[in-house]
Amino acid sequence: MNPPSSILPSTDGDDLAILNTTFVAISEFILSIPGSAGVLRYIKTSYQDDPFRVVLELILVFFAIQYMSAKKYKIDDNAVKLTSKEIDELVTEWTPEPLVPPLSDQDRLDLEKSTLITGAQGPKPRVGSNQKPLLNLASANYLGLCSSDRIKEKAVQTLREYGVGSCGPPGFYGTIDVHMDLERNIAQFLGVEEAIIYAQGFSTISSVVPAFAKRGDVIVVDDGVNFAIQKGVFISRSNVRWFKHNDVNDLERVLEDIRVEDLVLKKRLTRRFIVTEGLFQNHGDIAPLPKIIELKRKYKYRLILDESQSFGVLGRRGAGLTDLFDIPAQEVDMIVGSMATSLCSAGGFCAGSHEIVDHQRLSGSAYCFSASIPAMLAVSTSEALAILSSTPTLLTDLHDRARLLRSILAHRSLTPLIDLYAPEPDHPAPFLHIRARETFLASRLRDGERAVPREDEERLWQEVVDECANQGVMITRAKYVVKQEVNCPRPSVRVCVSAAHTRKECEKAAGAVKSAIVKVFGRWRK
Amino acid sequence: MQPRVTRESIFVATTTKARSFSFSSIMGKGKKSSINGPSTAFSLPPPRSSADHSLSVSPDLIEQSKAAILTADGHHPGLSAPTAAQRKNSTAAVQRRTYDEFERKLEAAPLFVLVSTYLNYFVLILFGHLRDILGKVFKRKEVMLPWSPTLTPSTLVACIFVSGTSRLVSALPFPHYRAEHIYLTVIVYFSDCWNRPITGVPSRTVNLLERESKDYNKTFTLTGSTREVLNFSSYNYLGFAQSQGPCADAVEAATRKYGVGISSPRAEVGTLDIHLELEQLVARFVGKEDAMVVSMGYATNSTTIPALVGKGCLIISDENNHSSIVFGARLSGASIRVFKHNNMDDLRQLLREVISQGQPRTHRPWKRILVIVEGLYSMEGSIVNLPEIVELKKEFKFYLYVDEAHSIGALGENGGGVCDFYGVDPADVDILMGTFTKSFGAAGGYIAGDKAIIDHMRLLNHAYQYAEPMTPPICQQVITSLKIICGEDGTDDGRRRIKQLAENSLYFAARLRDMGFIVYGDEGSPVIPLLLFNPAKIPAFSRELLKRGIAVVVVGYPATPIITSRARFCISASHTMTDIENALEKISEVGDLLMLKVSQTNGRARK
Amino acid sequence: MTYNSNYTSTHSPPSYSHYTSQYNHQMSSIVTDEEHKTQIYNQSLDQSSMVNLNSSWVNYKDFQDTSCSTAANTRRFTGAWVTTLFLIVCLKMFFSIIPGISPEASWTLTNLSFNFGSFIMFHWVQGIPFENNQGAYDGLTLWEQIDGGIQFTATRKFLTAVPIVLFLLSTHYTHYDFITFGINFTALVVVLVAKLPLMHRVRVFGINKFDMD
Repeated sequence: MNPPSSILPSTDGDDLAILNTTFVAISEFILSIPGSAGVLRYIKTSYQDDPFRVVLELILVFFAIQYMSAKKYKIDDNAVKLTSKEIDELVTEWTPEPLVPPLSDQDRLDLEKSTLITGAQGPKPRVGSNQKPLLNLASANYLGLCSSDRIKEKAVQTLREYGVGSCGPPGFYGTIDVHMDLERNIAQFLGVEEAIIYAQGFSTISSVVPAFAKRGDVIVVDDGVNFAIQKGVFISRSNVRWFKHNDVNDLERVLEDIRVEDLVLKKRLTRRFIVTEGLFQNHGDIAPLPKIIELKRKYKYRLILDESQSFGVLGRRGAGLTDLFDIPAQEVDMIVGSMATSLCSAGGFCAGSHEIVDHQRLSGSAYCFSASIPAMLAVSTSEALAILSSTPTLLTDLHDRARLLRSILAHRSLTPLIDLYAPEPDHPAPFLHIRARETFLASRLRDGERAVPREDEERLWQEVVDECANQGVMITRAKYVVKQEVNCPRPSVRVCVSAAHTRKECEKAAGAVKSAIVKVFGRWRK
Repeated sequence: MQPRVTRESIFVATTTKARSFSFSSIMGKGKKSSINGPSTAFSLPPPRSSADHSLSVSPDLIEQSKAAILTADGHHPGLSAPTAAQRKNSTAAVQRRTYDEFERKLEAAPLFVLVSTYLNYFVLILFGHLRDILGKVFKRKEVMLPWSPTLTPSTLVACIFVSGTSRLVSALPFPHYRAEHIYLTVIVYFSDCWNRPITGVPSRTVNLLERESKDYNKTFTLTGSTREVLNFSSYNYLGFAQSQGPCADAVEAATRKYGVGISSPRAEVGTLDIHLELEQLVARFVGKEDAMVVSMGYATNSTTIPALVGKGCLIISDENNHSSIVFGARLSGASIRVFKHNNMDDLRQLLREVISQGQPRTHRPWKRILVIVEGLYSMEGSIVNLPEIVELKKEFKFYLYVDEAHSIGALGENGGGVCDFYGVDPADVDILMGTFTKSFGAAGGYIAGDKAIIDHMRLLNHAYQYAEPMTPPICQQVITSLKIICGEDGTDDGRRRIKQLAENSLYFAARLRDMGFIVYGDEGSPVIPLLLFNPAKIPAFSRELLKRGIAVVVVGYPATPIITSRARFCISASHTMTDIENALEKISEVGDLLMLKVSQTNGRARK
Repeated sequence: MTYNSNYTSTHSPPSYSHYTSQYNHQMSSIVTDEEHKTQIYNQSLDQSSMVNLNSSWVNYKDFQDTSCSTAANTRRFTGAWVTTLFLIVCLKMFFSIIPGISPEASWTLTNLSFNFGSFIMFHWVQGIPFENNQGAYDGLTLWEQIDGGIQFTATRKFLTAVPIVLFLLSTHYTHYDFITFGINFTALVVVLVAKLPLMHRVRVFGINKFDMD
């Protein structure tokens, strides 16, 4: 019989032969590639009779190739895919809003009515286009140092030695010996270890807070603080808790809440701060420092006290809130102050322990990245401190004028019209805010109005300011960036006294304010 | 070895070639000034508003200047001829070429320098970690910092090794581990290079207060002696840091008249007549309708940017922008994007992307886009490519904010800043901001723009509403120095200073490059950074030069990228030729000592 | 409080799953939902406001090179990349010098020490030294910070390729001994897994987690 293989065509042998020749051709081809012998040897040696490992390595190589050829992408990206033409269209279509919106009526009023002083600032400057001399109840010239001849002399002397500008940041040859002297003077005056100087009082606290507080930290702030503090805590990106203005019970409640959260959620320890002002710029009252310090110790927080308005004014020596309450200044972790208010110079400072001050020399952004304060101004501040230390009568005069002002403004003819902040006759603050009483405003509501709009209230006070100017006294409305303030205070007039005024002048000025209020309020909306 | 570039050759180059530092011959703005001849006092033209573009460079002038450039001899060291790509679009090509004329293409260091720098950092960090761990083990006090506000010990690394779990981390009373501590414990040994106290006027020389340290630079005590050294570190570009002279006399008179302080913000009763005079003068000088001054340069940025933009707006800022701009941008609440330094292609790309994509997540269109650039970048010495940005502005409709902190007074033939330097109409820039600290020897900053913008600023700028105003003596210093720069005081002192500054900068930079250093900085920039690369060379350079009587600024990470740490020279118009020659000699000495002459395209390598 | 959130839109809620997965169980009532979203927005804002110098050095071109045209800049592998390779060579030489050590052990030790060192540097240490953006990069390791979180960039590819190549070399030179292979492979897997995109911001078993709230 025919073998089964004969059923298959005799090309079977041909197929195998073709396969063989193909293989031979391919291997000859591969061998002819230079270096292929080496690769083949490598593969032979690496095989090593261990297929499992080889498979693992092959997987690795595949993974590597896949990784290398992957395209880059952004995690969390929800960008819309557009063609180039669509992008062009969108670009040509887009129109921006104007850079600044047109001025509103209130804005125009603000700009028109801005006060211009010709000549020097002082207790009786020349104001306005007709340069009429007015008694100055508007500037924070509490100790009357604006017109001090001694300071002017010292400044001129310094000019002749140091020039004007310091020409560099403190890190790069901008640290002048007068700065170091001033820092030492401030530290000694306050009774703390060290102090550091910034070039502007406003930027100080908004650099100090972010230098210490970061994401994840907790800051507990009084809700009546000034704008600079608000910006400082905002930029620090910490968790901010507000407590009611000057309400120690509310502060305790907030601190207790935070402590409970920590316990329940086992959070890691972070830095904790309480920020408050010594003498509130927007309200004229004083923080209850002893109670705050007690709470701070109990809950282990750090206290940042902004003494922009109170430094040089409160206390027996004028050293601020710690002096007033007779508490050693080391209890407050950071005292931040401004040298531009009662010391009539420029700049700000932060005083505290050595570590705190030293840390700011590297991380306080307004310190590191800005030119240092001119030498003249630093010396003026040192001189002002010296005057304050050597002339305690300045403070007694100041308190006397403040008392006089309050007693006149507390007159019963004014009571139905206004509220004073703060009204107590022996209150140590040298300025007060005058706000329209709610009942008065309610009595003058127009039909259909639920409340008097802010612009109208501002206009009312502007009329009072104008009327006072007619009567020879300069006062000012308190100005805010309304849209950006947290908890913007109601419109008010801030009246400041100065030790440079005599009793008679102060009386006369206060009387003028009183009569202006009565007059303007009397005829308003009639 | 004779220096290949001499002062005379620079002088000849700048007078005979069309490409001179005085761009009037190219730009033809009508404010012609020759270098050698006497100048006549001129009055500034009245400012225009943004709608008026009559002062823009006209096309025929562009053609003239193109011809002039093409015929000039282009062998000035470091320049490259315009490529074909740049000739494509004639107007744009000329403007791009205009920046290219003095742009220094940043040079890369040779490979061994880079590798050695990385290794140096590696060793530094390793030692820092080791010191920390050993300190914790042996309980050395300075390593353990229990309640310090931010210095955190790296010993947690050791703890984790030991305990094997991170639960230990939360039990410890320290804040969480960050790498800052390692750097700080090492950097403290360099701290004699920074915060050096001075006394007297910081002009061409400065009096350093000598100090010594007994605990390896952790604390210093003053020895009581002073030492006068050459000052290449203060921002004194036009040399107005003087205690004698017309400026000082005027300031004395102002101090006696006005006093030193004004205890009230501008918006309340802090506006004096001298402020208005200053603001009007600044506006005229810069070429805008109106201006506003703030008492601190840093605060000018950080209070203006939040007043301009807010949520729903976009800020596009150069990656090397100053910290005050970044602070202001973060404070405003607007979105922020950065583009590569001075890279117009990247900016164009970014603009196309952001405008087409809109706001993140909601994709609503942006309310406004504000592009913030600086005139002269103080760490790189590079000048912004303003003509091209203005072109982009016309195409993409964004608003332009130029921070001229370093360039006002120092650049431009009239000291008018980058607009003057390029011949760009100031009306094309929406907001010009600058500071008075650098070229005017005073303090403070200004914002200049259209009247509508400045009026708006007066109501919303935080510093105007809450902060103290510029004190009268400082205002007077600015007023007097501005008048000197403009020539309105009747002398040519201002001209002389500007010319001196330009000469000094060009010469100094050219000589340094000639020696073989890697030097950043565009032509004509008075800020000249010399690259050090290696972290160990940072304090070495500073100390060696101080030994030889020169005060310099050295910067490293984090002010600069990690690898490219540098020494930054600030040239002043008050530097005499002897000062500069002296300094160059000493720098060359120190450069040889520290092996800093690593450039492969400058100096000896090219011979 | 006027911390207006950017997310009060009418569209579907934005997905920031990578953040919530980490913070969901950690969110306390100290921080309300609204504030939490604002914090995330602020964090991305702070991250985008400046160049991250802490992470930019790993790219092959570290310096700002706006218009590179000189010959030096056309080199592909400069700076950090060459240094990495150089470091590996140094490590190998160091281990080979030790008297009495076999080449297999020295290769294994090189592989292990390199992986260990790079793991600490890229995947353990978090945050930035010397920041002034209030901790925008807290809780992010160096690997997560590179290139702003974009995956599969050239730098990441290089840094992934290096341990793989090193592994292949070390297995070859250890003559495929099973134990050393196992050790090397484990080290490689640990390092590779840490570099995967899906491990972005993931902290296994809560090790090394940075608690942001």
